[in-house]
Amino acid sequence: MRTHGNLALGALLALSGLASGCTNVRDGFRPVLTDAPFVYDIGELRVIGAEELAGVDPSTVPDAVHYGQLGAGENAGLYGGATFQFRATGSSVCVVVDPEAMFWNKEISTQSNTVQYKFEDIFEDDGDLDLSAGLAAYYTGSPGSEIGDFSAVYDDPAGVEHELAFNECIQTGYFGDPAHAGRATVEYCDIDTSLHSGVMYTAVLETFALPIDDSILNFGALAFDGRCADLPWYDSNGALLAGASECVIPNEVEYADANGIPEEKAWFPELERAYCSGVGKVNTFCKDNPGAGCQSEEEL
Amino acid sequence: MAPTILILALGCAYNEELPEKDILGTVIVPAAAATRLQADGTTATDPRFIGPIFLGAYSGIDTVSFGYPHPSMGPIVTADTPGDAFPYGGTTVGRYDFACYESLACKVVTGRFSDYNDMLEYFGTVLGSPIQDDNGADVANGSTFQQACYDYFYATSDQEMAFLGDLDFALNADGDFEAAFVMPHTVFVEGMTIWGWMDAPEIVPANPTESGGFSSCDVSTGREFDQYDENFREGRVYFDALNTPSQYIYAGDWVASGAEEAVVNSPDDKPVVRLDFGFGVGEAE
Repeated sequence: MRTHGNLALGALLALSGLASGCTNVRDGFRPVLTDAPFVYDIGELRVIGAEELAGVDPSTVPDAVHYGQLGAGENAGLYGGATFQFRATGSSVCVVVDPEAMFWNKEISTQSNTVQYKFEDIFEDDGDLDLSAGLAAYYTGSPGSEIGDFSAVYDDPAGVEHELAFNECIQTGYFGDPAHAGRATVEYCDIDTSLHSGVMYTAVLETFALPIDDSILNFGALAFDGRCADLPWYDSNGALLAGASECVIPNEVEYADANGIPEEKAWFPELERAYCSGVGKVNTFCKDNPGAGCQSEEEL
Repeated sequence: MAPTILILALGCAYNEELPEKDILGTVIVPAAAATRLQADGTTATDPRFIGPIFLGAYSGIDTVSFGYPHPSMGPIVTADTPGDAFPYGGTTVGRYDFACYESLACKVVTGRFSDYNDMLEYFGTVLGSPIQDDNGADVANGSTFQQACYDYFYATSDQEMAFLGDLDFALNADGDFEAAFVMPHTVFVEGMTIWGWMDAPEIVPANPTESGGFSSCDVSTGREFDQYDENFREGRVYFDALNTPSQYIYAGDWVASGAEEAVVNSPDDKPVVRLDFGFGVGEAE
């Protein structure tokens, strides 16, 4: 079971708050409970090929792509999230997760702020999922019940215990160190399954942060037959591009909600299309649609 | 004042019972491991042929998985990487050091050269791969080499050149080369084995200018030098040379067989590590 390391500290703070008779101000930062599940298992996802993925009509949801929602749990000391399984192809499999909604950087240059991004991302609608994956046999969690990891203990011939990390989803940061992407940013990794063709793997989408605005995290996930660098996607001009990006799994906000997209988020798909059409288009979208997920000119 | 004295007194007497110990021992490199082909076609026994020696404390020896004795390793997790051997500690006898010229990146080991001329003679005459300066010209004498080093490191003394000075190895009564080692702060596990391997310098008879490199050194990493028209890395040992040594051991390298005399049953034991297994020796040159 994965627990938050700051559980003891939180309990201490709560006790000290009670002791001093103060209101626990941290309550204001806790996500609210909703109908969205805290932990659930997606089941097996079919590994989708490049041709099929490239041929998907953007207005439909391919069956090999899962769209879902995650919410808060009653116990703030536990990690929530979703799991899915995929069968090893015997070569490289790319696992991708795209959490709601999207992130972009604001242009900080004063010389060119009219051509580059000018409007800040609104982060209250963003969530964050951390991706890990490995052989299903090594997964320590219980799919659908509790989130675990891919660690195990190895006893060497002298009887000394060593902790083994079986997570094969290695993502690296700017300096090459193991890292996860930040809020709303797509996470992906290549899994080399050449030693385990036909064997089941588990991918874990661990909830790192829920969106502040509604405590419901919409996301999309898939397992791709090939390397992440070859993931196909179309920009808004219809050009076929390759590589993991926000645009590989479109419309996670619209497709994840069984009741359809909420009115207050109706602008999400349009903004994502603007984002996927290339640099500068977010700026254009925000300039033309003030308030729809963007800051207004007055707020700048 | 009194509490301070009490603490000091307790500090001297209190045994923290830390599991880490300094392991002292001896590594023996057979003369055959230091006998190599020279540029003139003759063979010679020369301690400068002794590359860096990596020593680790391991749980046991695996004589099945590789073509040479190798530390016991944990499970293989990814397809192209062997299992981690989980050393309890480690050290080296000789380490990579950058010797002022880009042409020497990943080719110089500490404790092998006494002075600049010693290096010029080894690379120029023995290997047939003369040291070249930044313009590609052969370096002819030691004082030129010294001046380049002083310029590069902003140094004023040869004592600042770690790649020069006292030699690690001495000839023993058996005609082999012997050096003492200290493996500091090693987690002591009763019955652990000190195992090691020597990365032998590459000798390329067909193209001697390519000789002198080592497979355990990564020329694409290490400190970056970027000045005027020069841009290169100084090179650095691969970080997992003790965890997954098989990734860097090639034919021509020498490894320890893990004999009983290398087993440590007490922190006061003085293990002897003999690099007596020549892996594919004779096939490499």
